[in-house]
Amino acid sequence: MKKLDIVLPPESVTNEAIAQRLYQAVTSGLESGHVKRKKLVWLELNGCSGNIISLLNGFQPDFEYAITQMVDIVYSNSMMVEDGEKAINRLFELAEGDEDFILGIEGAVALKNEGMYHLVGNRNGQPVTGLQAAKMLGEKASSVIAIGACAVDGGPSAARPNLSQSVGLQTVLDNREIIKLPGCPVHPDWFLGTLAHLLLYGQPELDQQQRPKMFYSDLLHDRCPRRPYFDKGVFSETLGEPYCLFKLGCRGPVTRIDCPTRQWNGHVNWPIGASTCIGCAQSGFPDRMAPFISYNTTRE
Amino acid sequence: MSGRKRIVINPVTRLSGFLELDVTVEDNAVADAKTKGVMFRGFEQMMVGRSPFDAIYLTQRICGICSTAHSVASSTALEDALGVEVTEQGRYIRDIIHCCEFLQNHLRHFYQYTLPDFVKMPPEYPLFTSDNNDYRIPKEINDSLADHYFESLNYSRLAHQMLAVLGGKAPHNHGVFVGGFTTPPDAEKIIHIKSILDKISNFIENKMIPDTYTVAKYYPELFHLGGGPGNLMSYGAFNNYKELGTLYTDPLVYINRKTEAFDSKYIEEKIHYSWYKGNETSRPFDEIQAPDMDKEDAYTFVKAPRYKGVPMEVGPLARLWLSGEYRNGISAMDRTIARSLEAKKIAVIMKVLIDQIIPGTHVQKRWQVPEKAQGAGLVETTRGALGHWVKIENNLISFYQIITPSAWDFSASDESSKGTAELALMHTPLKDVENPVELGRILRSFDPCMSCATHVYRPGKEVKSIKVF
Amino acid sequence: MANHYTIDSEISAAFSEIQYLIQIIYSTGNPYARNLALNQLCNQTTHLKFLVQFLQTERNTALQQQAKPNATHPFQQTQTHTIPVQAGVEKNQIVPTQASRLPQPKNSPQQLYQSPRLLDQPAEAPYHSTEVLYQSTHIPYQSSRGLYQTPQTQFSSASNQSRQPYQIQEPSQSAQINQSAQPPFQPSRLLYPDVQRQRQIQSPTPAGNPNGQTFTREQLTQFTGMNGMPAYVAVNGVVYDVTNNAAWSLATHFGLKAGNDLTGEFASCHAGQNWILAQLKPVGRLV
Ligand code: SF4
Ligand code: SF4
Repeated sequence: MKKLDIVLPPESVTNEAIAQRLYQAVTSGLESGHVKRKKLVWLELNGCSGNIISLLNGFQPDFEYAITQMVDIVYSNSMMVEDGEKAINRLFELAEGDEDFILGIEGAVALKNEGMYHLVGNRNGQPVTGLQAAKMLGEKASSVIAIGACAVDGGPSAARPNLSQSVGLQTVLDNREIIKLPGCPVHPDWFLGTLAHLLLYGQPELDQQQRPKMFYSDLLHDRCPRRPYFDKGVFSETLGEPYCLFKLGCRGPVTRIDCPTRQWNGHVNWPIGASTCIGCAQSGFPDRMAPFISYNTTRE
Repeated sequence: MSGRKRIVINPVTRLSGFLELDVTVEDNAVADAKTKGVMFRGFEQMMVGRSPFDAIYLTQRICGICSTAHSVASSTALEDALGVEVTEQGRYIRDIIHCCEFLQNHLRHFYQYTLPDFVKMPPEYPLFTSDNNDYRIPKEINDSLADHYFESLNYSRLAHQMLAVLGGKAPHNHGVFVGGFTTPPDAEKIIHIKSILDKISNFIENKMIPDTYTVAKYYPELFHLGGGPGNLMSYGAFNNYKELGTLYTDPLVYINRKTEAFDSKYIEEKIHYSWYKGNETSRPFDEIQAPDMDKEDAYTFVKAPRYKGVPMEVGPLARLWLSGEYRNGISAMDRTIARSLEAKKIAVIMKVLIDQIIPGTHVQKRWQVPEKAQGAGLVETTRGALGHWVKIENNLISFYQIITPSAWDFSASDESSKGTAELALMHTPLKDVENPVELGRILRSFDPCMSCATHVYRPGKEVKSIKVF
Repeated sequence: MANHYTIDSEISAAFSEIQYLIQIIYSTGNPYARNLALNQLCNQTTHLKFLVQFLQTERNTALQQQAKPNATHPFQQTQTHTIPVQAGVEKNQIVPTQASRLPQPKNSPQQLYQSPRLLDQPAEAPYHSTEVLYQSTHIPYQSSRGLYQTPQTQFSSASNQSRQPYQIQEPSQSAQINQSAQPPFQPSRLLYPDVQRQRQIQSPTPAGNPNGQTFTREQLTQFTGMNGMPAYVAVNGVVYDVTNNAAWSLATHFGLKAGNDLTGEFASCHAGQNWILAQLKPVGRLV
């Protein structure tokens, strides 16, 4: 572990390279036995369950690696074999026992009707609401990771008029520190990199909005390959042109994330490679990032 | 009341979103069944007052596993409203992006969601431990199928990579838009997806389809379970190309053992047993009914979409049946087989479409939103027929209606009939009432996507009508 | 011989700087601070190499040639060729990327000259006030500079002791030298010959004198940034143009719309960040 503490040239010191080294360190840590396999609960709340799909999309490390080498996932609505009461009991066992576990939550917490707008299960004939599960496990977990825009601040689930009264996790767990990974969905590397850091070095360094600095510190606009066009004032008139998308509604200038350098789905492309950035990794998405696209903006 | 028992399964895992199954068992067979979506976000209301283009990106957030479907439906609805005629190139590339989604979905649904019902997964991982004791496949074959569970992850991932090459990222792509797609692909991108597609087709032909038949061989009783209403519907998939004609299926319905042309005017939503007030029956462009939890007789917030007044089944089996390519039967196992066969079919269609691409064709314009307009987007997606209906007023969305495939398959009862999946569960004999594995197997054969279905559902108080114990 | 001492003290300063940077690398967990320290370390070693070489050649020629500090001082030479200082150019000038991204000593003339306003920016600004960084399209690299500068500033103040030699260089002196060596140039034309589609760069109106025009609230609502109208917002009675402001894509900013008086919103989100306003282009007063 010590040898990884210092990063020296000629090793690359980009965010990507640091994250990559973290993953490697986890393997060697696990192999040598000084990192213990922790339990991970992946709780899906009121949302689209897209973050777990995104997790399945991770290349190096991939999902297979994560579940066999990094953590023991004990609960995941989308993936687990067990269902019904036996599944939900696992959550209660963890909440009542004193075993260490990491809690990852995707989706918002629906507050309407004491949480009845979103149920995670049923136990002894009583509905278990997402609100109840989030509180119960959130107080117990050794670390809590809010995965995706909805878990961070309500995201699309809380878009106006927000009939389900969805809120971010912090609202119901107001006293505890939560690592926040905004994004719609979260990039698998953002989650697995954070997890690797937690396992190996403890909590990663967070910014003022509790986002890990290793992923959320650079302004997208600063690293955008279309930036020279922005500086020259060359703006696309329609989508699909290769120039800066600012006048069509690009939210890159207000979004801090490493999309342009990390890229998506095995690093093949990213949203601005297709259309505008809609600021999904910035707080306030989607309401405060709307409208996404317009052709009527004043040019000049 | 001996022999009568209520079973509530919640969560039903290995599906997208949240589903509660509430069945009453009598003499070891299902006597009553209710499927309930247990989450609510209200996407239709969310769209009201937004810029029309935002719907394409925001409706994708309904569902993480089939987001592309919503972008395709909502851009189609907007094209209808804006009076935009889509070029053939626009359609080809949009459909290719959609094909990637089909492949991703079918692979994941079969291997990650369905397979663990039949195949014993390596028990050293807590994710896979289970009390299910009805695993019948011999160890050696079982283990090779379990290996394919892991192998398949690579291919579903690659399917999403193809999607990202054209659409920016997945899930929740940025590439589908009014006019078809946004950024025109160049030769490098085309060859990139071609090479991935080759690998995926190989996997489907050599592993996925044989694996499906292996499962069918050891669990043959499922050919007789989970039938449902036997009415099938498709809005038409990969059809009506100017030069290519129909590559898959035309808009057709199969009612009372007869195939006929589909007509959208017969679609309606009923609310007799649902907690809404307003017209008993309404068409997609009518007003959104206000929720009303005190309504007599109602037992759920689920609406009941109907075609000509009867519940319909949608999805791969419906499409293959209507296109005449698979007519073995309508059952839980047939549904699973159809899904795997369709994966192969989609890969073939995708190859045909890729060959039509002219690299660098720019299809985007400065789209103008009219003061007032309305449009419908009816498309076939992974899980079946999806419809978006939009009205625009003062250049903003004033009305939005979505009927998802899972709303058809998991619809509520109406005066005359239960919903599709409820019907499929009825009279299912259970071997072990304590361990009703059959129920999950039948439900998952529909590939439920409750994130989708429940964008309008709302959970209620305890179901009042069940007081039989 | 004074020159010898200068070089010697520079060498020892470089050594202590290197030691200090190594300490930072050991002690910080922050990848960015580490990143910066590494960059500086590379700079310092290059500098050291140069000094040693210089010393050798100088020893050989020491007896024949009297060194002229102002002309041949190694430190000045490196400064001059790596950091073109643009004196007397307008506010909207484009700053060379390379120079602005490299970590600079705190008191380097270049920094003092180019962005005095950055010095009163709160140190954490780049991390917590995400939305405000891009206030001015006229200074394209401001944000990256702000970002890199933050930890840098911290180092500098912590290592003031070891930085003595850098202060030998007088800011004014250096500016003069560079000014004479490099005539003021028109960067926009020089860097971007393709001027046809170039953004119209308005000449900045002095912030203290926005009296050109007055707007009523009603008039202000017309400046929505749509359909050919520029995007104006008012804060504290002054109307600013945000049409080409990067943080105002589609004339909206975190759900706020152009054409409004945003005094309250500004105060609640950017308290104590009046430097943001200083970067905007005032166009008139709200009456
Ligand atoms: S496309 Fe967006 S992120 Fe890229 S330079 Fe333009 S405004 Fe910035
Ligand atoms: S580019 Fe923007 S919209 Fe896209 S994933 Fe990154 S932050 Fe989200």
